[in-house]
Amino acid sequence: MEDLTNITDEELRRVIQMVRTIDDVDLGQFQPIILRHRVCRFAALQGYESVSKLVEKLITDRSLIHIFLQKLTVPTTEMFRDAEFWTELEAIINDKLSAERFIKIWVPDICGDDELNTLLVILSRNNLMHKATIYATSQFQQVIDNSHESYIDTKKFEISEANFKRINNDNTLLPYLERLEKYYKFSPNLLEKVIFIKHCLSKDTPPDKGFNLVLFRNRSLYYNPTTRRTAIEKIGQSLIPGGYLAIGSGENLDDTDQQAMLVQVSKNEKIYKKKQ
Amino acid sequence: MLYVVIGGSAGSFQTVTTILAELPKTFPHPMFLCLHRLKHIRTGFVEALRLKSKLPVHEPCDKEPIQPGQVYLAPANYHMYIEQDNTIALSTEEPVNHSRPSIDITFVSAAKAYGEKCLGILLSGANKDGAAGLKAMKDAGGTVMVQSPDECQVKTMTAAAIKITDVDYIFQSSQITNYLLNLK
Repeated sequence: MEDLTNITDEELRRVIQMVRTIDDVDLGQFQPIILRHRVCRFAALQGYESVSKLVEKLITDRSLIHIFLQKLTVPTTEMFRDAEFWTELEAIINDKLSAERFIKIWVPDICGDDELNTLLVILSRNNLMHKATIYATSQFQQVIDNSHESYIDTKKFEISEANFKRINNDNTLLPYLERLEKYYKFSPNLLEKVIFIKHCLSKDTPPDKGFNLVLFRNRSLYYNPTTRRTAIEKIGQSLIPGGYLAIGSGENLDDTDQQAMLVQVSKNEKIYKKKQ
Repeated sequence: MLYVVIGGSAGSFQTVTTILAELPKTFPHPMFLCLHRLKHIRTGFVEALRLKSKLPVHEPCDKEPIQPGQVYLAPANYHMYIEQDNTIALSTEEPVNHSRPSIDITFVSAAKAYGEKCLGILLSGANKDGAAGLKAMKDAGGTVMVQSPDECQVKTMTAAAIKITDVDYIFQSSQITNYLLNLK
């Protein structure tokens, strides 16, 4: 376990300033304690004896910065995380959204592909891919560059498969995956329907407007309170009246203006509907 | 004000419920519980803890301000950090010590946020999660105690902590409860 005291406030400021200068990414937008942990973790995994040594190396080695930024982002954990949530969302998609002529969906801040892949499985098995337009965005170019292909290791497959079976014991993810030697590859046919765009929630306007659904689970955790409010505000405004927003069970809309505009439609899950 | 941070795994649930049952509803110190639990079972755990507790027990949301006399239970499948602005930060980062929530994450962040105002308590458990965190709390000036390994259903966790940290107290669960009852 990395010692969070291994990085001083001054060192953290130096890291933030350096990345802002070199890569135009503002790490100051992230939740401080988690950023601190991610930086310490990266330093430890890369074998640096101190964060100071890491900072020195980052200043001189731009290729390391790209790896650093990629490792700072927190992957979503597994496909079909919180099976009950996906059961409820699938019902909403079937009961409400399937009647729409087109379905416009936004998955902001993708990292790892589990949430996006899960959504694609849901849309595919309900024969809705043909009417769906799906945007997936990240502020990290490296994430966008790597998102057209999605690989799942055996352990994550087993966890994801078990989650999927919690929805229905007959379910299996295998029709959506290609088995390789050490990995599974997620269906390229489904991924090619997704529009991947570099997009920063704190700075940029939404990639489109009139969304029927925004899937933003467990992503606001990594923003500081100010950036989180900005992100929720933009996402809320991007929804059409009657559109849906899904956030994680550990998140809420408190302290956001969107709290008044969105009504929770699920008793147990954080699924909200924008007022008409 | 002290900040009581309790970690435990296999065999700790009964001890925690016993402690909570004894504490009065006027207990003023915030308490954080990081207990290993099944990640896909999101309901039932907090309800079970509430049954005998006089203190309010709940699973916090991300960025929730920390209040006196509240008991915060790390939600299933989330790490629970204590942020320096006295709020809670949740995370879905990689498991630490094969655990999410990880006791080390909660302990180390509490050490960073509260220093000598921390009281860390490590209970029965079957892996080493929490040992490094307890050391961080001690190094930050906090008070640390472990449940007596002799009393633990599984002693791996407390034994690991004792091995790397000069803990302040090795207590039976009844002594832990008495210590908490006598806190100012």
